[in-house]
Amino acid sequence: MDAMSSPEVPVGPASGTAVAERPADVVTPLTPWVTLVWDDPVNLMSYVTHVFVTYFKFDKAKAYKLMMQVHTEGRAVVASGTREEMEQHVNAMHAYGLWATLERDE
Amino acid sequence: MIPFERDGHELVSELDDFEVALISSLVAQVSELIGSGGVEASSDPFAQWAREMRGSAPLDRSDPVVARLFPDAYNDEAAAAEHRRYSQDALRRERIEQSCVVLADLAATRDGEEPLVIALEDVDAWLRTLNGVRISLAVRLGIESESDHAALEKLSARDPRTQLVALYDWLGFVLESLLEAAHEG
Repeated sequence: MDAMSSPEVPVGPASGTAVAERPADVVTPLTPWVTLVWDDPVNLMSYVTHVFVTYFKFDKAKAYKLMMQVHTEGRAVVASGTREEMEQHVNAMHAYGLWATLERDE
Repeated sequence: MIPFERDGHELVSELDDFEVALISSLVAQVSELIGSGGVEASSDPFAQWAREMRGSAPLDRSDPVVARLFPDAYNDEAAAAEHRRYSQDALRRERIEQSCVVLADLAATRDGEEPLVIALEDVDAWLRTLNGVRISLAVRLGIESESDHAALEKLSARDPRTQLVALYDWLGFVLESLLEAAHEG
């Protein structure tokens, strides 16, 4: 949706100057975290694809693409979000025998 | 071993007595390594909670197989240790429960006299468990890159590692067969 051309969208509370005076760090969202899956020579390509489809519910094409990225580039970001969510994903990947870590998204 | 075939809500294969004994033994070994004794004994949720609060999981992380099955979640060692303190027990319990599913299905073949039948809902337990065994073999064989594996394939028949390599490759074949049959439907 294009907010600029939509008159119904509220521009902000009360005066226009209040928006400009708001400190920047209040509106900056927290830095998200990411789940990384790392390449290893043991997990079969078909198995890694299966894990991405089964756990993340990715369609087969996306799961295959991510698996290939892990395989050829050594790692791939498979999810991003809060730290707690990423810890859950990493635990799940470990339970499947995949090598995964989480880190702050740079 | 006859490749798995999908039959409705089940995957079916045939293993001979040697293959049944082999997989059972490997699964039991990994299960023991990650401490099935201590974890199985705690069906009491309070005991389980108490142990988690103590954070005293006696996993031997100096064993590279254990370290590979329970890898660090963070690059930072302190953060990884903290994370492990409250996530490790659940991971162990999960692996041990899944091993039990596999061992029960294998036992139901009566040493390979009956076909091996895996319910679709148990396929994941099978995949994770066999993959865990395969990872353990890879660690023992020192497979850290594709070229390590290629070098092992060229060992002479007299090398003591040759049998383990064959086993590692065979488990890969079993996994592929399971995956193919599971995705047939």
